[in-house]
Amino acid sequence: MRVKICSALAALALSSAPALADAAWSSNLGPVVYDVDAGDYVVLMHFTPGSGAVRRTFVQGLVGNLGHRGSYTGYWIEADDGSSTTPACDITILDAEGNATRHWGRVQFQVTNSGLPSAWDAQIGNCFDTPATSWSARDNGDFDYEAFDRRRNGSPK
Amino acid sequence: MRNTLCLTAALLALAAAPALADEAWVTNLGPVIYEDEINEYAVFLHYDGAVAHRTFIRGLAGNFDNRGHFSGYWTEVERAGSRTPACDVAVADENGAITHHWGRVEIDFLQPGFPGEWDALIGNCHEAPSRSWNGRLDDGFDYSGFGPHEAPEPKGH
Repeated sequence: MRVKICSALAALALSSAPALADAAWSSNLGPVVYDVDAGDYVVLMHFTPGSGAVRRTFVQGLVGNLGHRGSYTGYWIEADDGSSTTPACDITILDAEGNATRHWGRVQFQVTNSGLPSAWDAQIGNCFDTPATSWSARDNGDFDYEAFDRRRNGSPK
Repeated sequence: MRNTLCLTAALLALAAAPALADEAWVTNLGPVIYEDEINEYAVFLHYDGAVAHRTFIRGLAGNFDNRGHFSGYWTEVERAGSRTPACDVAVADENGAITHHWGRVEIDFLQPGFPGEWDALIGNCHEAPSRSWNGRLDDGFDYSGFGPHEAPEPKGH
């Protein structure tokens, strides 16, 4: 009985809270998903054009604020596993999930509309460079999550 | 005979290469020594009171005759009550020590050879280095007195 009550409560909780990866966008750097929260960081994920490396972008203070116009700062990382073709920086950083890497850069992030679905513009750079490369995203209601997950898991298309 | 030759060669090599920590400077932030080399990084050490600050300079290790401009970073041991700001992202230094207290360094050697003097700029976290830090040679450097010390009490209010 206790197990059934717990299961019911868990199911209710899951159905009332938006799933993290329910948010997804089309961007000029390809499809992007809202992957997870890490402390006060929202973690976005996409595949870097060209190398195909998994890039995770950590935006500080964005948790719960995707529907609010505002500016945020953060950083992006790619793993030190040989997949990245971005320059190795002078200094190794630890991301908010504790992963160490020399492949990273800074991000300036602006949520450009109030309410959902959300839209945002960002500037990104390598290492300590001032972020200057534009990265813009608009909500994609038809996002193919299954295809994205297959690519993330390295499965054949 | 062969052993004698090897020993002589080793002694000659040792005599020709400057020993680590043979280079020391007086600076506007207190005495500094060339402490170590880790891969391509030279490691400078100085103390802010009892707290060790290490500066990691990429490309300087083993360079005793072609010194010019280098980039790097400084770190301070993670601790409560630090006088330096905690950055939004942690770094792992070349020793593997993890800290939120770090900043960037740009350093220019005034002579290409060993020993040499330098002018540097330092900053906190991601900010562009802008505060001066100047190292000058001191023939009378007191290695025995180098180490952690009591920080001076703040003056007046």
